[in-house]
Amino acid sequence: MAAPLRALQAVSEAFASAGEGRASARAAWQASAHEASRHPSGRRVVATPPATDEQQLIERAQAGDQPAFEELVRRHADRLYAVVLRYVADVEEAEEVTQEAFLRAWRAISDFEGRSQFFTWLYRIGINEAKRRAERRPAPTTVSSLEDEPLEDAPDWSEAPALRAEQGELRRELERAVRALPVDYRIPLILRDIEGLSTEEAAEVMGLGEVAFKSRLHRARLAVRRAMDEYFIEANR
Amino acid sequence: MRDRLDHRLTQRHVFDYLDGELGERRQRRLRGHADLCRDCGATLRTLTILLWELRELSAPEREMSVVPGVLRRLRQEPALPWQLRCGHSRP
Repeated sequence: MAAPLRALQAVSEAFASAGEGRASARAAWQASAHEASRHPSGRRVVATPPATDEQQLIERAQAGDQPAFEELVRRHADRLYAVVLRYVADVEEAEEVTQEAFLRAWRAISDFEGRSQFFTWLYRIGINEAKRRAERRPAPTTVSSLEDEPLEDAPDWSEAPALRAEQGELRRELERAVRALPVDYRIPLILRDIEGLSTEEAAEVMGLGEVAFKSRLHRARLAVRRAMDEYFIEANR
Repeated sequence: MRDRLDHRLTQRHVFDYLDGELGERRQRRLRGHADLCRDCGATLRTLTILLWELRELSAPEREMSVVPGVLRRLRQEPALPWQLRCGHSRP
């Protein structure tokens, strides 16, 4: 298991064990922070295939070798689908967008210059396709405002009983909070925090500079935190 | 004075710290301050959990892979002129 994940698991376990209290949570958090500092990326390790191998597949695909492109599909389609699914309305549309993105990528593979990683290029095609479709739909009514100021009585999550008791429900609430973000804020959070891209990669997918990207990402995180704070406060009543 | 500066540093750069994008010296200052400041300590713990929980959302939500569907669409696609010129056969 990657070190940052191991450290974060330690945090979770400390929070999950009722009665151990704040001291163990604090120790776990500190372990996490130290791990993060040792690993400058601080990110989940994304299973990206060896670059040279992938490079050969891309070059063969650019020479018209469809089986080589199909290997790229096998490597990246499910990941792209997972990203798109959090953007569009349902699983069928997510699958259509994923298929369309790969068709577009195949048609344009000769234009791929290798200045970015293949999957960031692919994500960009997929997200543009999802955006195109989203623009044809009426705006959803459930989008939350970007309230990113913490609540006055915001709980310390390391002491939130609901976090320990109901992991499944917590997950559903978190999904809901992410889905309720305005799209321009949701995608940075999906790419960086859920998919584990680096800031540089995710900013590139979005076509944004790093400063602008981080501004959206941080606001999105704070809005999700606020939504979850409200959930914890409600759960504790 | 130093406390106030470190408090501001923590509030402004807590995400940079959690993303591993803060220099070593500032990391030390932020950690030291969060150990002493109740609010910043709580914020740091809470945001650490938030990011951890978000990462956990990446588990696949679908048992079936989308790969077969993509390959089917791809194989229905007529070959483009540049692909025909390259002379590769289709699978």
